[in-house]
Amino acid sequence: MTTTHTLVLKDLSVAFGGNKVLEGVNLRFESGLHGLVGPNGAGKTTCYNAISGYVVPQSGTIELDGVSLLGKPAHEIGVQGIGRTFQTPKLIPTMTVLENVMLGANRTYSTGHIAEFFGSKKARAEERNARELAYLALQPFGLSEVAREKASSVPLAVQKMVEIARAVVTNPLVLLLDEPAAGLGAADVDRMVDALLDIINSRNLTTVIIEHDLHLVSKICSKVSVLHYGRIIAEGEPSNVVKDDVVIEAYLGKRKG
Amino acid sequence: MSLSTTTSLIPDWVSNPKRPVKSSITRYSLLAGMVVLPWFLGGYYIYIVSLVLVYTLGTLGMNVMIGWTGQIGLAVAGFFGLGAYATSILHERGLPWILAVVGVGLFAAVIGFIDGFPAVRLFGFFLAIASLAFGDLIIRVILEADGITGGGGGYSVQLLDFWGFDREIALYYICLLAIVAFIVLVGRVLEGRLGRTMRAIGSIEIAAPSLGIAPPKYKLIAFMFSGSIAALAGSIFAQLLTYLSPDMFKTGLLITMLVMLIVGGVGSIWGSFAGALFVVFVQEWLQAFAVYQRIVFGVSLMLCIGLLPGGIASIGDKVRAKFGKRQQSVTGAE
Repeated sequence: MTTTHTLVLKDLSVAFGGNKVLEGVNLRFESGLHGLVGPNGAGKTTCYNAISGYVVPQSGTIELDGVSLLGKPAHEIGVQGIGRTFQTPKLIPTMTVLENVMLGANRTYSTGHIAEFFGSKKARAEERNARELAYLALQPFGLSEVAREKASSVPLAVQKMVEIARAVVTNPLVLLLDEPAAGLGAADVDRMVDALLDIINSRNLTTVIIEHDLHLVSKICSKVSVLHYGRIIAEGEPSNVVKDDVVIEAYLGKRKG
Repeated sequence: MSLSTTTSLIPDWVSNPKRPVKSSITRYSLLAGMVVLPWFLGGYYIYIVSLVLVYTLGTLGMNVMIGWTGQIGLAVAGFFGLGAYATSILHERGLPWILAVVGVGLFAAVIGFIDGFPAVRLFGFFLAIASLAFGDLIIRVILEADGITGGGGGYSVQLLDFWGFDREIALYYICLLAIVAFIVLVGRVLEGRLGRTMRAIGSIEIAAPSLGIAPPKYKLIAFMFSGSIAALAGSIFAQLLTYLSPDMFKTGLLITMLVMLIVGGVGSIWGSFAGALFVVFVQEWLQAFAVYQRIVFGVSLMLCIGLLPGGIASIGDKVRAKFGKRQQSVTGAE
């Protein structure tokens, strides 16, 4: 039985100058797939940025399994177990797909760079281990065949899946996915979702997904939260939330008459 | 993730990557060619090839910083001068040359750390200006410490004793040894975890922290590495030139090395060699026509930036991409 991990945001507020982007946001993410939706500019990515230490909140708390993440540098939050992807895949174009995924395995090394410089046996074994971990992470997505291709030469769908595989290799406790299905064809979305659900279920991984496709969110998420102008306006089971009048109004505007 | 049950699924090329045979043959043939070169080239050309190798080393120092870590650090000429002066002075005062080189390499890493400190907070042009000033500061110190360095009047380098061997050839082999050592030791690190992490800072700095990577730490490592390699190149450079003057290590040298870096290929070990080869030979062939040298360099820079951003080192990839097999999408998406 794998342990479950909980990420809790309490009364979180973020502002850039006078522009309040998040106001008193309360969210609780537990194991399974949790959708975070809302119109453009609602504050979804800012919410991720606050969790992963990229922006400093004005007030509120962020706790992973009861331990505060506030005030910690972004790389330490990454080490503590917050893995994430970005709206546009952040891959190194000149490196192979496998090498890009290996970046996620950096924390599996116990040897330093001096040992690497002199090619110590342990350093070489750890490098081999990282290569194998990266290769295995590509398999659920069916990407073993492109492992040796340059990241710049693979299509967007593959790049997005490679980025998810890299985040999985960091061995996260909580995985934050930022619009992984945006710009992808139906076949690629199905492929990615299948692999993702396999990973989430096998690890009992707490995963949050920002997505505009409400149909997809309804299909795969057990719970969804709706952000609008920096506030949570609805939360609950996807089938109920998409019928909520406030949510429909936020997406489509006020009904006339 | 446990590997015990799944290792059978992992192909051998993943667990035990080997360099392609073709690439190994090219490398060893090139090395063999370089080893026997003095039998075929006259003393003057051996001197020129030695210069190419020293510039390659210096440019590699800059490449680690700019090509790998994406930091526009421009103090490399200063570190070149630091290595040249410090090693020569220590050698003149009785320290065996090789010990002086190692000591100065370590000292340059410390100075690189100081140079890199602002890099934790500065980006782009601001970092470029700060590091340019730092490089100039090193040369200013050399100029002012005229009691030791000879100041503006220059400094005659105490030559290495090669026990009767031909000096040009012996120096050529020292240069070759330094390059081979770089490619074997540093090249392995640059193609390994440290290199990947540095490239992450250079290409996707925003994503690096989410992977547990602390950009400031690796920026500092790059500055230390870069300073140390440039100083090592400077140490050998002093023996080749036999006479040093602070003017040699000013902006002119920096620009020459930037041309080598960009024309050869930013972020490629072989690119630094190709760039140094190109620049040194153009300088030699057009020695009497300084103005034409600048035109050639200027046009080459424009051509590279416009048509070949990966420099000479990317020509092979370009040709393969044009005439090689097109890669198919595995997902069916385009």
